[in-house]
Amino acid sequence: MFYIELGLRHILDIEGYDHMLFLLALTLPLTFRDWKQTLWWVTAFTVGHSLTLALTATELISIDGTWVELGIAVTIFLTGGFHLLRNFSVSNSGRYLSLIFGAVHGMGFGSYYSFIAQNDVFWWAWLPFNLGIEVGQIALVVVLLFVYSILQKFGVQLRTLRLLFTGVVLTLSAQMILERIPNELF
Amino acid sequence: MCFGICGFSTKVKHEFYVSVTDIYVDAEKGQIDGVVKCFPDDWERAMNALLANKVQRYVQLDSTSQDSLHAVYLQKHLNVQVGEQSIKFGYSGTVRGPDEVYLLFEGPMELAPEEYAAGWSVNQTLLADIYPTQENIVILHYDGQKYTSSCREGNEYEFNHSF
Repeated sequence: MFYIELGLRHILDIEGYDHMLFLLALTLPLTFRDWKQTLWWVTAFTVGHSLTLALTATELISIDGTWVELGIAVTIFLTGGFHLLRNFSVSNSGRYLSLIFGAVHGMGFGSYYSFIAQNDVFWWAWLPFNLGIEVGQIALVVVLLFVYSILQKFGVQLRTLRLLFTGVVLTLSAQMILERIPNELF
Repeated sequence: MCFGICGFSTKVKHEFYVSVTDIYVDAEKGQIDGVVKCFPDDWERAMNALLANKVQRYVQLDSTSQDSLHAVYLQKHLNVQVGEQSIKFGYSGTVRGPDEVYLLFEGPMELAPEEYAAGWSVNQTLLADIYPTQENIVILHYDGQKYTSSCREGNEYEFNHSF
């Protein structure tokens, strides 16, 4: 139970807002009517995240944290851009995007996980921890979709809302990218 | 739109401040053993804060002086009670790994072994004086059973448990 809660807090922690920003970007074209796609996309993200979390925590793959942080910012920007270019259409390609980008995000958490869950705890805690992440993401996405529908009820056009949130996503992620570019590139 | 000007920075990455503590009730030895694992840089920062205005820094101290600091800090930041009985932990040494520091401690079993089955109260504020978001994961081991929880700001760095 503790590791479910830990996964949940990992997602809902405001200091990890890049994760939240990614979910905002991911859900840009979605509404409650697309609940099946929503579930697919969120689950694909968790699967990608879980796999690379395990691979980096066991040191089967090792990528410098600076590049991973940059990669996370890039995935947010690309997700926002992807939906904008596709005119916010919902398709199966979203789940593959989620899977791949989830894998990038998972790499950012491997060292933390290997620190907190070593030895016999490692695999035993892996499933509940990722389950917590999944539950946290679904909860966040439901809140986001709820906010969309409330704003729509107040007469805000869905397209206007999407363009506004896309602007937020692209602006913040572009700033993240600029700030996270490793010094060695200059 | 420049968020930097508005005071909103995206530069802060998702930093995690965490430690893991294992506490074992060893009925055979009549002793309670424990080990805290934390990041070396976090630990060094806490030790330097203890030194406050002294000119010497933690890394410049000899191992005896470092151990004295460790003992003082652990005593201040780790309080464990079983029922009404506080466990009198004493610092017993440090082991340094490549990316972590292990602080060892032990205390006497002053109750009958079966009394350790209930009434645990753990308060651990280790490194919370340095990092407000510090989370101290604590794993209690008793009679082949294990319980995991954490001390963090959200629960005022304290939890209770009965096996």
